Amino acid sequence: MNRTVKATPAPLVRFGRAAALGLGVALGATLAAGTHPGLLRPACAEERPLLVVTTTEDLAAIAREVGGERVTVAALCRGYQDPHYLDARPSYMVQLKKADLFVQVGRDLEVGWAPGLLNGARNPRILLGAPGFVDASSQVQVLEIPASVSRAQGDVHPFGNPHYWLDPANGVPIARAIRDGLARVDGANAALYARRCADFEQRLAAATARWRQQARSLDLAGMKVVTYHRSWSYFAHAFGLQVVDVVEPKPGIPPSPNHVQRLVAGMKQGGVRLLLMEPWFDGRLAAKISRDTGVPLAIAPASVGAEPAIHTIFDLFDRQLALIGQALGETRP
Amino acid sequence: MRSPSVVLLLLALGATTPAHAQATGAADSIAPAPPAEPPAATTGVPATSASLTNPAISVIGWFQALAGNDSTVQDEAFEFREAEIALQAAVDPFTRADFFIAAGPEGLEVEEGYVTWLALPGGGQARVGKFRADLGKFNRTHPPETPFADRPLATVAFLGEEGLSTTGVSLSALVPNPMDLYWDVTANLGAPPDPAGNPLFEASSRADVLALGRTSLFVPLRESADLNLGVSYASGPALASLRADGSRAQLGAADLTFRWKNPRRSIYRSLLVQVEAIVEQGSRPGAGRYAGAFGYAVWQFARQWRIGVRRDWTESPGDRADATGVLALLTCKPSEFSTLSLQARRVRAPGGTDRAAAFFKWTFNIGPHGADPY
Repeated sequence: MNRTVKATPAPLVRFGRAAALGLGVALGATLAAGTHPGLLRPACAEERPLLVVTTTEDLAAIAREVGGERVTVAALCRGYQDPHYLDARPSYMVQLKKADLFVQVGRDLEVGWAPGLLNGARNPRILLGAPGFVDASSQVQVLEIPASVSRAQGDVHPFGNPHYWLDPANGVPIARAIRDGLARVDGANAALYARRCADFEQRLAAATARWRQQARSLDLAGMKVVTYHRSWSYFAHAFGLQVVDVVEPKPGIPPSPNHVQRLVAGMKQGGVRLLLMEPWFDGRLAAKISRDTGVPLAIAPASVGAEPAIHTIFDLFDRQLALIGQALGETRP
Repeated sequence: MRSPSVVLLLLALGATTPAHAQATGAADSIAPAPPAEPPAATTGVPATSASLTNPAISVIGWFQALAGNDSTVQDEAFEFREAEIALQAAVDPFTRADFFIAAGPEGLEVEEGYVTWLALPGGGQARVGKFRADLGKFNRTHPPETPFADRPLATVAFLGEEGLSTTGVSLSALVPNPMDLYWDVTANLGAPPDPAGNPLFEASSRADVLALGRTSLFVPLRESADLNLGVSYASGPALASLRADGSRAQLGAADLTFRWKNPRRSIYRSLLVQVEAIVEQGSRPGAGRYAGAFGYAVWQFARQWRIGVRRDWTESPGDRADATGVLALLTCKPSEFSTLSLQARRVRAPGGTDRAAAFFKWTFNIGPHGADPY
């Protein structure tokens, strides 16, 4: 081959040797540091709080209720993000590497990002099957489990609707799953977690009674509503709303103009009183449907953290019902 | 390939039948109504469709049409470029296995097949088998899953048309650092790839191994933006035709990736910018140095639509004459599981000859929802 050879020292050779040496040292030092007995010891044996990493802020809020001062809680997905489509940023693996307990919504909600993060976190304590892995749906009565699954239906959840935290009653099984997980990794404080969980359940029961009263005053029982995505099935189940249609009938696929036309026609004739939407969708289509039909639109937070003032599950349902009341109030004579 | 169409057909039938069987089994197993009594709390409920006993099976199909006078990417006007079958499952509580089998006009190949120890003592991770080498960032991406109908000129020139793979062992770890950034180091040691598929490496004995190291740093700039920087180095026995003096071939690569996405509107807008440079040099003092680089940007301007552009420049191992290229794309993703892309590419080859091509790339995915790479 006819070629021109540049007569220089070989910097890539030097770079290569330096890189190999540097990588070897870094890899060796990292592994050696990681095998230090102190770092291998379960975190619960230490005095520091347990690190609980949850996929969503709703689970984080409940983990704080159950764990109290004994836990530090971090959520990967913010309340204003669509939890179906979180990007698996490598920085999340750094958090998960240190976690003592991992809590997920499950039912394939996080299937696009959580498994990859867990596999990359290099933390055996929180892998599926380990004591530090909690699927919060394990004790929940799941709705809308499909009899058959096909992608022709869109990106359906084969294990049922995963938005179960939007029924306040499901705060109880979620809290119990977290309580059990904390007890597994920190048995010495199991009684504390049980007490805090029972206290949370009592406060949640009282608040749920208040929310149901509020729902009755808003005439929500039997009210026909349309939702953007199938996120609100549990909320509707809890407060008696009747979801008659959805803007996005095939999850993950924008609605066709034909569907929107049929939806608008149906909403005009069918006595629909409310259009409910999560904040991460583009509101323009929903606003247009609302204008065309005269049905009020409520863009309601679907998670803790969706708005700065929503710190707890209690804040979340307070805010949702207030916004629905506000939307319905605007259309009342 | 003795009979590509027959093998493809058999493979498709073989692949889709278990996939269908698995889907049916999954549906059957979840069809009953929720239990009246809440199930007892257990450790780690396997509530993902990919974690049933059978491996998760998925198939990515890649159909591509070509027009123009550039036949370096594919020979025919219409080609079914590849069917990539993925089989993935946990082996036991400690390891998982991933197999990617590619079937195309040139035959059937295990593109990757490896077992990963997920959490070694010390926070390490090990991988054993055949895998795409950690050289640069782009090389890790399987051909159907890149945004492009082709591969960047520099990667073809230095890593081969299918990219650089190796069979061996890989060890990686996260480096603790005061800023708690994601910083990983990876070392690969393995057999060099078949010289028929790569332009640099060739083993003449079992002692000839390809050694590779990579480190990358992920820097979250803000909630909506982040930067990923990587540096890689590989050294292996050179092709006899390239290094008659028996010296080793060495590759260095640097990559930079910037991502932007508004978390409140994450399904509607995003930007991806990636730049990568590759340098090759023989191990003997005074050896020539040859380089290539590419950069691209892809802008998502609506929920299903993206536009992008890529620029290429490259020399070839042992040849200073350079080639340049530009590629533009318009992509529609009707759903998460299919992608349609119109692309146009112009390449100025060494010697100044121009080649132009238009592509239509269609990829689709059947099977369980897999984890999306970042």
